[in-house]
Amino acid sequence: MPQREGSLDQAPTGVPLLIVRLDESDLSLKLMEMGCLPGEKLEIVHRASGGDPLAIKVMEYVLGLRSREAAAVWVSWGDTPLRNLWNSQEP
Amino acid sequence: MSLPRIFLAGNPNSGKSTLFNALTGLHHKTANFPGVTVESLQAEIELRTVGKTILVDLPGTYSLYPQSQDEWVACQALVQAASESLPTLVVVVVDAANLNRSMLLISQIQELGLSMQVVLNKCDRVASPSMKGVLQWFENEMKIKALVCDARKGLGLKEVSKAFDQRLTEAGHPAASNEPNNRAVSNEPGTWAASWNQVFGQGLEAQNAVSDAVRARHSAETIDRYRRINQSLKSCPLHETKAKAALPNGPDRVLLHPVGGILVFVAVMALMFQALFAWASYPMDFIENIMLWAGENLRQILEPRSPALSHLVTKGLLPGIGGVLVFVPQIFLLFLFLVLLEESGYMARVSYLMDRNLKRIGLNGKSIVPMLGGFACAVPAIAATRNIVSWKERLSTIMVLPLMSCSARLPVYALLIQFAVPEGYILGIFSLQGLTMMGLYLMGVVAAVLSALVMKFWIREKGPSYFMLEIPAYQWPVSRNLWQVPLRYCLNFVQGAGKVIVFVSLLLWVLASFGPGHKISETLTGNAPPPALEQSYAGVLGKALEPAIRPLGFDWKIGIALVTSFAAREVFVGTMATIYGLEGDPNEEGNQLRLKERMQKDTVEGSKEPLFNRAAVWSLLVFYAFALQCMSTVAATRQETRSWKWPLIQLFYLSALAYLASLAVYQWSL
Repeated sequence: MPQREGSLDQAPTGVPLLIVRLDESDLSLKLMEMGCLPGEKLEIVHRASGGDPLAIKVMEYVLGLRSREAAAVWVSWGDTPLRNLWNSQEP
Repeated sequence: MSLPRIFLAGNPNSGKSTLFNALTGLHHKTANFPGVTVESLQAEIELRTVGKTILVDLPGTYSLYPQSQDEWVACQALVQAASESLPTLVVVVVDAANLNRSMLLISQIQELGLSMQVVLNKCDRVASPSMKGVLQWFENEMKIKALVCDARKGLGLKEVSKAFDQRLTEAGHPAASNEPNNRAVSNEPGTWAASWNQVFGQGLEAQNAVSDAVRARHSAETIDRYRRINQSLKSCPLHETKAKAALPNGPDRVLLHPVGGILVFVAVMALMFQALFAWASYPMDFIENIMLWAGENLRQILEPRSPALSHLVTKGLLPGIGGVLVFVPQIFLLFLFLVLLEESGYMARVSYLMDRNLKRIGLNGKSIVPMLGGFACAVPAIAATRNIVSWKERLSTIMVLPLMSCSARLPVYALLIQFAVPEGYILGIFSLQGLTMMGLYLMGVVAAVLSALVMKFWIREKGPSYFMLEIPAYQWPVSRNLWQVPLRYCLNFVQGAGKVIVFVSLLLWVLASFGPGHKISETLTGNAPPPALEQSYAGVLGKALEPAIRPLGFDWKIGIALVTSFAAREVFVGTMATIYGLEGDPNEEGNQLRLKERMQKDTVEGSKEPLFNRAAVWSLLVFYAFALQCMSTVAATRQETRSWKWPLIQLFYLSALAYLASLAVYQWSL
């Protein structure tokens, strides 16, 4: 699978993701404070029906958020070094 | 002299409130809600050298840049404290499994220059070669004193108090200015606290004016802080979390399922109401019998000495107090359920599950906690809306909250349902009256949903809408909290509502015992018999009201109860008790019957039709389900919306709703 990028609300569930950047918006500060920082690993662990809200695992805890909020987070995924990121110690 | 203060700060779900409860027991100053610390809860504790100290439990926050009202309360308290010279200690409670996220708040508080103590909580959830190494890391790397405790099991509490004592002694000592920052300068221009005050000092409304430049600065600062935190954490011997974040395995497969999750939620609610009606009836009967027994004995003691005093105590005071005490078991059970739901981590899942649906009606997933809390009491629930970021969603939640049937309606429902629904069971387990009770609650919820929809299109307030909520791992509730928190609310209720009810029942006794044309002094000395209820002041008042409430099926006696329960709806039962206790000759055999039987025997004037017939009782039930008969709620809405506009709108629309719905029910079921 080639490496791909997209916004978090469009990303696949159950796959290790890497945060590339956050859109400049009023909620990006809140997201960052909650641990969604560029370079941080995360994974979508649950999607409610219709994909909204969704639950992500970030910094070893689970955060529930709306898909509109997730859209502010740009992530990448794929089989290149990212595949094993979740379990690796430090890239 | 002002006492030294300790502020408990920390992320939500860090176990802050559990630590607070463990340290303070039942000695709290303000009432609050399980789980959600909406107001800074205070208690006085005794430390060995410092002596009396005020312990403040601040609302949970992730950073000192607030986004919601409760975060603002916490941040403001800390920044304010930094500019005062009182001996102050900030205790940051840290969920050890989420150390790096907590470090953000710690690093911000550190810059305020207040003396700080870190308490590492939930250490059973992490793997570390030695906790000693972690504490040393805090001391050497971060220059912060830290210690370990297990607030849930109550382990390490002595060490915690000892450390508080030590830190406060140091802080109060002038020689202790080897703190990282000197507090005296913290409010001067250019400091962190000063720039915070510039942006947030005027309250959160000013936050709309937070410019893009300031926001960008805060974002850059946060990134930089986390970079430094991650750098320092490399030398911290705390690496792994034992408790892996639980989603999506285990119970969440069912509990977060779009259909299954809602079914489970409805089942949990059904169980709760079943418990409130069926199980609570035993202790309630017990309390009722004790009050009857006490009344009879007091009458026998007081009657020969002073008939007037006996009348006042047994017919005015005791029924009023009994009316309060009798629903303590139900309040206890209700809070027990709420604590269970909150502490187990289920409440956060319900918020998550319901956000999508609540968003559609203009509310927020976070509205579910205040709305369930509204089943207990709307007053703290209104304050519990403070963690909803969007002002419009928060306002809508506040406006519809009084439609959630609060515990004060329970005794009214419990008394009246007996006249409307026969005893009996469906399928052998579900009590018919219990199901009716649940139906009334459901009716309130449906009305709340419809009102919220109206608000959604009607309220014109702008602002972003967020739902960002940590979903904590499941855990067993702490057994101490299971009895302590409900008990505290019961005590609070008896004290708070008790005062109102005793006052109102005394007033009612005076109004019902005396009347125009009767000399008070003659009645008191026993020279003249008290007037019949109809000729008393209360009766005159009720009669004046009768034309307006006749279409709803109510007579002048119910009119009296409506007037007295305007301040607080739970007064209804006490009023009924007082009215039916007063009427007729107290020595007559039939009057010794309990309230229910007395009410049952009453008839509509001039006919054999019972006064509490099915149509009238349903109408009355509907009226109490919708009407805003609670001064405290009006005051709370005023407080939280900071205007008279919203409480008045709330009062008007709920009164209109109650009257029209009652009218419809009575006219239709006649």
